[in-house]
Amino acid sequence: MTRWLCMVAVAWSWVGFPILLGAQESAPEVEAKQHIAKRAIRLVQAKCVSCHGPEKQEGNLRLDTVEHLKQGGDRGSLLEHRDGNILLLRSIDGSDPDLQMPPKNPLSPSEIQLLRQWVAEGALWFDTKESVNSATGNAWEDELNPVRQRFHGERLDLWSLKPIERQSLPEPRFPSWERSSLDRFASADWNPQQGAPSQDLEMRPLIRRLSFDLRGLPPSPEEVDEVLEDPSPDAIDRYIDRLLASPHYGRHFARMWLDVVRYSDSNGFDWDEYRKDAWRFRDYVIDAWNHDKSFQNFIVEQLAGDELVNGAPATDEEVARWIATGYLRLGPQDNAAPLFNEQDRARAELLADLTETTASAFLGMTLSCCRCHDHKSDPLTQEDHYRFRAFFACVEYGDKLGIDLRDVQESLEKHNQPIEKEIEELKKQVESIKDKKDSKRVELQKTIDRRKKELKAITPALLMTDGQDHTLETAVFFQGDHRSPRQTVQPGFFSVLTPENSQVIKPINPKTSGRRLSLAQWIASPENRWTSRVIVNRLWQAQFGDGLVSSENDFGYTGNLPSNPAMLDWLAMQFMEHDWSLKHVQRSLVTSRVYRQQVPRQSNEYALRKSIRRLSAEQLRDATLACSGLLQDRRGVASHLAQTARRYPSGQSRVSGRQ
Amino acid sequence: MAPSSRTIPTHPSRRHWLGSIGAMGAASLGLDRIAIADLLDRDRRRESAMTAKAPDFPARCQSVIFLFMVGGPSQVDSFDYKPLLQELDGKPVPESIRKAVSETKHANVFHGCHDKLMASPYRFSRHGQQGMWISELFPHTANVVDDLCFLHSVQADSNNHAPASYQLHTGDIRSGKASLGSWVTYGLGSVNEDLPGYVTLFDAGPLGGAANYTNGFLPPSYQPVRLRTQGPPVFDLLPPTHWESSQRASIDLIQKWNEEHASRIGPYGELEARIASYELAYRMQSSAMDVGKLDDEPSYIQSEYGIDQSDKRLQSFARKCLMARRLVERGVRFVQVYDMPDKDGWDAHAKLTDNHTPRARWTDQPSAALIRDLKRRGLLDQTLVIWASEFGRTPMMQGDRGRQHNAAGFTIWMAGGGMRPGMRYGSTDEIGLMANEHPISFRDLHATILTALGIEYEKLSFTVSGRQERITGVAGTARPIREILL
Repeated sequence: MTRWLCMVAVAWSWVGFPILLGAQESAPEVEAKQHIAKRAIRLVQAKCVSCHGPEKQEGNLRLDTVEHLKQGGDRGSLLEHRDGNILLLRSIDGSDPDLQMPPKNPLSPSEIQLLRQWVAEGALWFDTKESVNSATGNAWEDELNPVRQRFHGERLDLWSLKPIERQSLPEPRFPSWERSSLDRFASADWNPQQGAPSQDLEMRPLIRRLSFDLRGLPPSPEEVDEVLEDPSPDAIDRYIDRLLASPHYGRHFARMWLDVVRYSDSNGFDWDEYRKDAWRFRDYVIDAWNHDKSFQNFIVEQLAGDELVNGAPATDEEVARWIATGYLRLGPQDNAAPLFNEQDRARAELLADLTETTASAFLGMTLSCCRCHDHKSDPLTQEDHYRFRAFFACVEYGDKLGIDLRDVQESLEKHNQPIEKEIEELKKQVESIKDKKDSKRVELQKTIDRRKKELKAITPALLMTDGQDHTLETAVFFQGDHRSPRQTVQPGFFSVLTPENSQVIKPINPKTSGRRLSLAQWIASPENRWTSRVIVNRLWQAQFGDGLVSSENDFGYTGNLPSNPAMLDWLAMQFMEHDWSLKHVQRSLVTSRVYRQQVPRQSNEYALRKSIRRLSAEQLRDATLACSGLLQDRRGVASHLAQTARRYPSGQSRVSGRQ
Repeated sequence: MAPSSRTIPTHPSRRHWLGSIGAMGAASLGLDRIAIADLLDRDRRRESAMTAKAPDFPARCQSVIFLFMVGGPSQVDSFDYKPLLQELDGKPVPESIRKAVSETKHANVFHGCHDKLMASPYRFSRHGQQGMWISELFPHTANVVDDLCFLHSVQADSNNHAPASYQLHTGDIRSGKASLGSWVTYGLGSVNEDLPGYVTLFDAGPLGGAANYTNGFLPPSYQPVRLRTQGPPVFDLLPPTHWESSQRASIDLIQKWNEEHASRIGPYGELEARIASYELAYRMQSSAMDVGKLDDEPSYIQSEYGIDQSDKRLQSFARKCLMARRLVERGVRFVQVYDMPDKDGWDAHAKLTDNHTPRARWTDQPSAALIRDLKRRGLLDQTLVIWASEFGRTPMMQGDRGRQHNAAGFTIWMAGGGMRPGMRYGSTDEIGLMANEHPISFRDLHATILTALGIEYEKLSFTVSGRQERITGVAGTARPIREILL
């Protein structure tokens, strides 16, 4: 982050303490001093403020603002010369046994040196709201990194923090058995002394497995016959291509993705109102999978589709980008909060939901822990939650914008404007007649109602965009309580990697802040350590039952380690190198030999599918409907609201049987 | 599922018993269905998630009946008599009280109210040995007042239905946590394995839906079962006649497959629960049909509860209360009852009397009958009855003679189960707006209930994503109200 909006350097002047910052200094010298000062302030923040700050003031001392520093505490000013000593330095360098600060973890020699230099150079101060972070490096290289400070250098060996590494193809182990590169990675991981790979599935069960896994439906008898009668060696591979091209493929995998992003057709709060327009987002997801939209675009559109469109949408693609922002709308929606003046709570919940869902869905990181305190196991601080939250700080519901194409919107406006104007006029006339039963007033009211019906409506969807204020600040909430705001933070990524504030991109849409776009681009970047690993792991999980990382939403220390890290990184790399194509990865999964393996029957057999799998509820239901010829093949319609759910809200159903 | 402080039994014990039972060929014994069920049941007793567990220390009670009054009944019109409020009818809130409330997190309680107080339209009079003030809305409850323990200073953290209701059920204003009934059965299991350990009874559930009474992150064995109180308690409980004779054999076959599946995939909570619920459902064919026979109760009991009344809504709540008694009598651990007959509940934003008068009539007689009935049977000592809502209502007027939600201070009562009878604890200010003596959070309330059940409330925990969840919260701020415990 280099965009310091109001970088105010304050030179201090004390008795016996000269002002060192002068006009005669060269620009690089000034910059060097500023750099030292920022690092020193960060150190003071990290080491001193928990006992000498807004929450606690040991010895009546605060060190969180320049005013408080000047004031000092019970022992007097920290920076004044006294008996040839400066209190701040004497208290940290161990020269005074009665005054060893910090009491538990003394500063390192280089940290002491930093503060010495800072004091010697005049103890420049920067408003801590501004980026003192910018002078700090990542946790491995810089001991002042906040994560390194907070966790005393621990937690830095988390496997998912390591960059994704290019993997060289392992030597073949069962050359006659391995069918693809993926098989080489799989077999490299096996101990051949313990046995051999399990048998391949026979053709019929393999066709069935493929059909359910890729399409969520059983194969039709004709399909089975066709594959079985095809003599060519790539019959199965061509069947796979057909399945991947089926419109049911997108429906099947949309269900997976919609679960990941907490999709529901109702508000999920209070009265649980029906979301009549949510289905447009559902169809967006189906189309994205069916058209194998690059996962990079898929990420960016969901997080910031609105930021990519200037004005009303001019093309269907731009319409889709708007609809994609439905992702931001899928959490629980508390409509009643304003009735009880609790909109701050609802707002805090909305932003927390966006923060936590985005972190777990795309990055497999559990930011919900840091809503109230530093993470208990992962290298994430409480500030990290709020820095991430700051990317969403400007969002507002955009449902009234509609998703009509630009020319339609223009003609709607042209049609509606004079009517709206007339209605306004008529309303004024109505108000001027006091008697509600006056025949003229009744007549006018009737006209208004009639004219209202002539208004043409926009096509609604669940949309999110930024409000007008793009400078909204994000405060850290003490213990996660929105009623206890503390220091403000700027948008920023995980500070273990990049403690500086994020550079906010200027988007094409002049009405949005660019914050979400910046976040989306970081998430969708090939440099990101989590994104590609997390999604290929989800795809693996969809085909094999368990992910390579079996805790698919938690790539932290409380999650599980990858069972085959080389294979995970190889897949992630393949994925990124093939335009972030989901179908590419899925094809390489299902064309492998390991995919064809039977569930092991004996203990001396290997397979990646360890046990038979149950069909999901949707697969089972659709299979029943498909086999009986009742499956409806419709798209572009709202979700079906099951009436029985209203009558039997707690799961008692009534189909048959005696009463 | 992550390991927890209390171990969930896994499948080996069940494999063992299924091996022996499966071979028996139950249906071939030629006995009638219920007899077979009884015979098999004795062999099927086994360590399951619901097996009764010893409490951490001697328990004051065995079961809980939670009468949830949905929507926020008004404390100042029921059990929290405020003479000053009667005097100040139509006047603004006294400045000292306004100031005190405005400085707290409950400042939003004024939102949406008129700046004037509304006296209670109901007459209050003194009842019982202690001369407790109770309004004319609750004449039956007034008759059992010496058995009740009133908490007048309860507070919730939200003034909105769903968050406050979630908090009363699960300890958190957000949805997704586990409800009290699930926690209690998780901690103690259930004595009667032929019935669910945790039962819900309702027509329309609470605001915020199933997230209130769900098992949340706790294993699915601890989810509640909803029973009906009219006709058979569960739809489709009995098999079609043509399947009756082969039913046991079919279930055995399904269970055998499930067992084989379980032995391959290892411990898996959902499969555990599925296997257990097949068995439970089978046993419930007799046990649930039996517990649902409310009409077999003597007529004096039925009329005491109000089942013979013509008012359908009174009748309906009466059936729930009687059913609750029959359930705890049979060892069911936790019964969650909701009074809401339709979508409104006690939510009297306007015309308080139109709302509260009928609702009190529907619930008063059955609640009081439940207390008396339990007491007569010697069950009240071991059954904790809780009468509570997510919040109360303001002494200020809202709209046309209504009252707004009030999470700042309201009244609940408890009875039996180790609570001091004839007790009042805590108080609100002079107009009944905010708790001013011994404020009680829902967490304190949960800690008190768990303590009555003999559970160390700090130890009853379940690890989710590395976090030790407790119904009393991770912060460790909950304190049981020792003063009200016997």
